[in-house]
Amino acid sequence: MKSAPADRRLPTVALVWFALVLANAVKWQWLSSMLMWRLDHPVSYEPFPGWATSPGLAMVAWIFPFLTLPVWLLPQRFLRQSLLCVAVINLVSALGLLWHIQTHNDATFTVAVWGWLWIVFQLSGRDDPRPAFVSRSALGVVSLFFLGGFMGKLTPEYWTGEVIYDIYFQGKPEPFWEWVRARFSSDLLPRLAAWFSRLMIFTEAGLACLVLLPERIRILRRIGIFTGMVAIGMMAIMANIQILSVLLPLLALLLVAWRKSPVH
Amino acid sequence: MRMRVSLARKAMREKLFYGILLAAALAIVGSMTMPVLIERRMAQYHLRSASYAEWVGLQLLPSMYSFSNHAEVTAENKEGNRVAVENAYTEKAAGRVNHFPLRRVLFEPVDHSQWSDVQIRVRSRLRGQELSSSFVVTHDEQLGELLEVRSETP
Repeated sequence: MKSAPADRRLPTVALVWFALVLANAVKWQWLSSMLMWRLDHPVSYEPFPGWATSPGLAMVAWIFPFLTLPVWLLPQRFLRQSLLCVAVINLVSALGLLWHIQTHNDATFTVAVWGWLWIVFQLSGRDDPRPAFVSRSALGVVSLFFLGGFMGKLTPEYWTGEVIYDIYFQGKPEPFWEWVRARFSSDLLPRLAAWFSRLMIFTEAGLACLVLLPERIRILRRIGIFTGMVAIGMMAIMANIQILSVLLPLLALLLVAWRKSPVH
Repeated sequence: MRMRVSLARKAMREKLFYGILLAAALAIVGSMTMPVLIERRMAQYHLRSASYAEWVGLQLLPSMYSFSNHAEVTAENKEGNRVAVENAYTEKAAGRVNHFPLRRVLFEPVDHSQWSDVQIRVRSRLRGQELSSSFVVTHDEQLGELLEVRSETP
């Protein structure tokens, strides 16, 4: 009996899939302790339905993607359909977390929703998607994410650096920010914050434009994607480890865009 | 024939995904530029959307580090004085929060054995537009913590 041919889209899907599960794992320490504590001290808020305030439900939705990993061990014949079903359930889990009072603020689950939706679109359909679609749709998700951040920063408080000064230059206890406070005089920090904040705005604007990179100009596309990866890497260094839950799936999508770029 | 149907399906799938991305991008740009919609986005951050359905829809739009958000938590101590409650992470009672300012009471334990009448005041701003809200967190043996809107200003 002939075995079914390997589905060529699976390595690409696997990269984003495992990045999304790893992103959930990054939240382990914070989310597990907070939700465990909330099991005994749930929050009630009248405008929200009961399920959207249940800590137990949030816990299940968060753990679910880990439990689905063995699906990758299924035989090739059923693999795509099984992965598609599980990806849909993981998408529902991510939506549950995004709409839950205890986890609604976490950009991890905004990325998760868009990441799982991207996977669902890659796996639906019997034939492999076109490389151009794989690449451009991955860039589209990354661009959408940074477009949201960019538009929300178009306000004087970000341009003058006040917000970044308060949150990062004064508030962050991580080693990088400790070093910045020790290295530069307190008079200089607000000015540094202003330039850092403007750099953030321009970087996010650039990342929001990644989807517009032309497919035909090979060098420009590669430089754009590579710069995007470097920018995301820098964000990871400057924040704490928790930010990896947001950045890892975005980095995986950029890798997919690089790998599946039609110029290859 | 089968190949043509497959190609048509592929094209439809691609168009659908691009359509979803484009709709979300337009919603982000529109809701961050039109004053009436900016107000809805800030209400989303304060968990004060007109309905849960509206909030659910807005939650799909990425918005990491948006607006200038400020939060302040106060409570009454055992002596009956209103005092500031420090943030466990930044050790500040009042200050800027990156996104969703209500996190100060939703994710940090409030010690109801020490405090009563815990209040949180949150304020968000975007290009001169502002929204302020005030909430109270009470403790109920049966229901846990109750979050209620106490006062709100447009």
